[in-house]
Amino acid sequence: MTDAQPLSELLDTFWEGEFTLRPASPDSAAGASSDSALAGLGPAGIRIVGRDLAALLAPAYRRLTGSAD
Amino acid sequence: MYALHALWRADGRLALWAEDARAFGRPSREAREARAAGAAGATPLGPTGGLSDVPAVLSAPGAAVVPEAEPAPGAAAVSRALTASAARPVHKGARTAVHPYACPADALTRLLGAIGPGLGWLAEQALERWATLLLPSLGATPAPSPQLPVGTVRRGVTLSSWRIPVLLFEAPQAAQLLGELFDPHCSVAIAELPGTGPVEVAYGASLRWLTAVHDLAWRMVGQGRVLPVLRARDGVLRAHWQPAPDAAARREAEALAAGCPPVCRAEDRPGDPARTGTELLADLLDVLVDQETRVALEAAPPPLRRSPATTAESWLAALHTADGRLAPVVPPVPAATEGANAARRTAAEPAAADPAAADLGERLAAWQAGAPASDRALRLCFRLSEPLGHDADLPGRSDLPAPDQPAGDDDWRLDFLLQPVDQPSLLVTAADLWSRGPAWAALSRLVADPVGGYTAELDRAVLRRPELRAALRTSRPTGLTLGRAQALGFLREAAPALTEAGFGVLLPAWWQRRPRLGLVLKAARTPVAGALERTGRIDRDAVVDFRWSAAIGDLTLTAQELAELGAAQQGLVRLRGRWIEADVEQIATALAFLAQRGSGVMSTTDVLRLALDPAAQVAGLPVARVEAAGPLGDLLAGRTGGTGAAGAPGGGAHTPPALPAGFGATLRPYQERGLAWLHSLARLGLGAVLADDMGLGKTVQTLALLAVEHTEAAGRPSKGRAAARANLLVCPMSLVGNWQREATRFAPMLRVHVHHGADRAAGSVTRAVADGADLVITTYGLVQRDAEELGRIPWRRVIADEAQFIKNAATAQSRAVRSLRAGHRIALTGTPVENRLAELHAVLDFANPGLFGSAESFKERYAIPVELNGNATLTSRLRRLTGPFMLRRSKSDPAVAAELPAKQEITVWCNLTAEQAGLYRAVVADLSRRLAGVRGVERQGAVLAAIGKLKQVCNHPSQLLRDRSAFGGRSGKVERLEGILAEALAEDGRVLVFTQYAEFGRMLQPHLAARFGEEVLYLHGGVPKRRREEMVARFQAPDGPRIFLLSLRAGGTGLNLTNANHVVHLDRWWNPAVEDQATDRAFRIGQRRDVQVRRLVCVGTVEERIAELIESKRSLAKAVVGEGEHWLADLSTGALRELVSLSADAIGEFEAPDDASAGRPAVGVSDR
Repeated sequence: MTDAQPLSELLDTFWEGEFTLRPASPDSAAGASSDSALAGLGPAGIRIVGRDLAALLAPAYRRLTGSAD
Repeated sequence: MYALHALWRADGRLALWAEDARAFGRPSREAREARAAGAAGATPLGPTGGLSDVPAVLSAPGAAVVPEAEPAPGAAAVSRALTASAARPVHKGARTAVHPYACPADALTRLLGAIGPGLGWLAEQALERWATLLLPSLGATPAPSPQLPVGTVRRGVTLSSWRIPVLLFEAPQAAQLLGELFDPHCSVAIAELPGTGPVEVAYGASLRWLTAVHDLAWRMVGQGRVLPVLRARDGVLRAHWQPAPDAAARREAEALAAGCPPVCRAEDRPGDPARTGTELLADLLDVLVDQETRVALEAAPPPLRRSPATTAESWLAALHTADGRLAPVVPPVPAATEGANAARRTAAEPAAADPAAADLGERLAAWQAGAPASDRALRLCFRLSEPLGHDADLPGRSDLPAPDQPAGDDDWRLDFLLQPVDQPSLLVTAADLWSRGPAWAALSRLVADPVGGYTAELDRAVLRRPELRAALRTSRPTGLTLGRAQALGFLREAAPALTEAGFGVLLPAWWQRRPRLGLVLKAARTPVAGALERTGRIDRDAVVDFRWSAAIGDLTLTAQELAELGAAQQGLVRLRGRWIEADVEQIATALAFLAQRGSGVMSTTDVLRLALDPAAQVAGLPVARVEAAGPLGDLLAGRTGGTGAAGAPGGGAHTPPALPAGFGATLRPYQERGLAWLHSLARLGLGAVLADDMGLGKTVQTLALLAVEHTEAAGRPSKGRAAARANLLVCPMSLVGNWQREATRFAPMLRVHVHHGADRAAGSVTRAVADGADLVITTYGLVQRDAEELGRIPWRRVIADEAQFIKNAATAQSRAVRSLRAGHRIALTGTPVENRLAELHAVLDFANPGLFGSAESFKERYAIPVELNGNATLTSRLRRLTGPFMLRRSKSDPAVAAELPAKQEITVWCNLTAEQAGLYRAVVADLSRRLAGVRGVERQGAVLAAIGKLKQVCNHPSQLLRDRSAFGGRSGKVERLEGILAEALAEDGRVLVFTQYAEFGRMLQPHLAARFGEEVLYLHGGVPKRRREEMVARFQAPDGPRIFLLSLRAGGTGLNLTNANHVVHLDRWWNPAVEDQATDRAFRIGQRRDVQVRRLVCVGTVEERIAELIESKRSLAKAVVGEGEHWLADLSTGALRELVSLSADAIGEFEAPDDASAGRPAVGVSDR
């Protein structure tokens, strides 16, 4: 596991990493096709100003995901 | 040419730094001076801070050796500072060498500005500071990165620490910068430096990696893969958006962590190991996701349109603010209290300790962790294991490691395991999963993606318990090593929460049954010089020495162990090889208690009370156990052959004493057990409450005890002054006759003296006792009236029958009974007193005075919670407390029911009232006059008429007199009937009451209806057929009337009344067959319960004599008695006179219980 290997053992590759920068693309987004985290949860059972928290958070998630508000 | 690098620091800020190719290999003036100083005798300079006895002045242009907290100055200022610092002494350990060709911070700002205005603006927001990095170095020079076109050094390099000027960006600017620098296509930028022209700036792998992580965070935000949580840091509450990766994001994050360039981990933090790529990635994602979410929500309307009034509202609002900090809560203020409101919580208060915040955090965690998916194939399990290795034990023990607890005791292991939901027996450790060994293969055959299932479950668990996040700092998490405090936190809090969330939790077995700290009482009777001690008996009034000690479970702690436990201040401690949970506050309480009240003297009653009360506490600590020597110790340890503190009274382990040969009954097995229990408690000197159901034979069990003791006393040699041997039985007047008759019948060896009646002689009891009476029978009323004489006598035992008569301890009658001097006490009661706790306490307190505390404390502790609130725990505790001293069997107990005959026939003896006795005598006198000189049919008619009148008198004076005066309190038989009905109804019984006199039934019906407040059916010959059928149907219905009064002629045959389980014959027909036919209305096919049949007989009257006659000549009874009473008329005058005469013991003086207002029966029953 190189990500936990002592640095002293990694001097040859000290300045290098194994990763790829992904070009911006709608399809390349992580979990592009998945639902928001809120969608996977039911009602919170936590009521704030008389409403369930899940309902209160819904507008914020719509804004994050660019869904119609 | 510059090479641009980045570092995500442990403090959550981004450090940007650069190598300058032009400065590479160009020694500075300051470096030359430093070398000269070294040549003059100072330690040779090296690149590391370890050589800091002299100023480390290898400097890049503009760089200086300064503490990291100081600003990184520009080139000119550095030069000046460097010159000054070179002349100052430098303390050991304070300095690290400066990177010789790192770009000065101000130059870096200009460089970024030259790449683009956006970067320049951000650079101007950054702080110029120092960072310390471990870099590959060759000799006294850091090796250049590959991006710097000066050649690559591969061989001979080692890691050395360098101080580097950096631009330090806070999270918001860091996120923006990384976004600006993200470029998947090009890793070199061109900077147009004024006066220099275009310069290449190569992006190092560290910077590009950080931009990749930022890109992942940004995309996760765009997918809504974030969740809002509440965090407390440095005492400040913050609303935070944390990553909630889906499977794809998780895979990408794992790849990024695995591919993390080592230089990203190179922050030199003395004493801390380099962070792993997984740790870095987790930290970075956590910050960047929160930051980018806030940016995305900047323009969103606020979720609240007013100031937050609760912690939850404040948290919701803070999700949309720039820093996430919770604003102070302004509770809504009612107008009336507006000026006085002081509840406003300010930011200065310890917000993190806010219980509302803790509650919100817990509820958020529970919500977000959610319930496991219904189709999940795998379940994550957590297994906590104790530290292995040495037998570390309580600190301070001579044979054990030092008091600060050995390090090994902090190596608790929390392993993660996987379990197929449909095959829970297969448990696979996460380590096996990652190693892809046989266990993984087995799991793979059952589940499609074990690793995916595992990580999804682990993510869910982290949402539920954020402390598990530490496990995610490795790319292949297998578990966690916990310190002792963390282990305790897991045991106490995380384990229940994880279990509730559907995870498996395996805890050490001792935790499930972890013993608590308690106190142990050791009591010992100190012999008093010159005093004789009765061996084998517990003297409740005696004083004993006691000593308290502390205990955990069954381990009694020494004073040293307790002191060491207190000093250890640890929640989990190993004591004598066993782990225990030590409550520091309780230990301190115990230490203080033992120091102040650890020993002394107390009464045996107090010792018993502490031993018997399973919830007993002293100084707020539970009493773990009570140990004592002698009979008290035997009792507490259950070695008595009797009850034991926790024993089941009346259980099968008792050996019943042998009944004397002359005893007039054979006890049923449950009665033998009752006798053994009474005998056992009596031998210990402890009082007993025998509370068997009506009809189970309390009288015969009590008389058996007296008979046994009588025989035992006869077999013992007399020792000096005779011990008190007379038993005093106190009962309602209506039961005197019954006790007298039953004593004669069952225990003829007892000398019985009855103390009652208006003509009782003063001093008669004293004389009777002196003459060797074994049993004195008297009434509650007379105990009060003759208190002086009865109170002078030292009774062997006082038996209170129908003990609910003394339920009110404040009444004079009750006080008189309780004040009697007695070596032993027995209370008999047939009412279910366990449901009336005030009565229960009164009865228990009579039997064992003081043992159950005051009535007030008993009420507060038990009566209210049990009676009003139905507290099951306290009900159980009460049962355990009273169990050793109270024996109650019901007819429905399987063990009892099996021993009872299906039909139980009982003769109930009644007394006459004075009014009845007067009438009775008048009828007898009239008969004597009439018989003089008459013969034949006339004589026969006179006899039968007189006997009929006598029977009516025995029933009730009104039946003879036909008067309309008050009915209650004038008939002993009716009083007894009321007692029987009361107890039968209390047991949810149904009763048939037969009388041969229809007019008596008509009088009785309204009286009983009023007395019990419920409908009483009455069937007699005048009831039409349809109405008769309706009555039977109603009685047979489950919720129908419970008392059915019938005339023998109308109801004695042909009816099916199997709903009844009690039958009462008020008066005698003299023909058993007629009575049996009536009884069979209940005792017939369809009857599912046992039936008790009672025949009421007035003692000393014609009723008793004819009953005896029939009983003694049962074989001839049918032939002699025939169908009626005509045979009586043929008796000789002498025999007739003897038959009808009234005995002195027939008369009673009726009295009320001490609390007649309670609605209890005025007279109880005696037939047990």
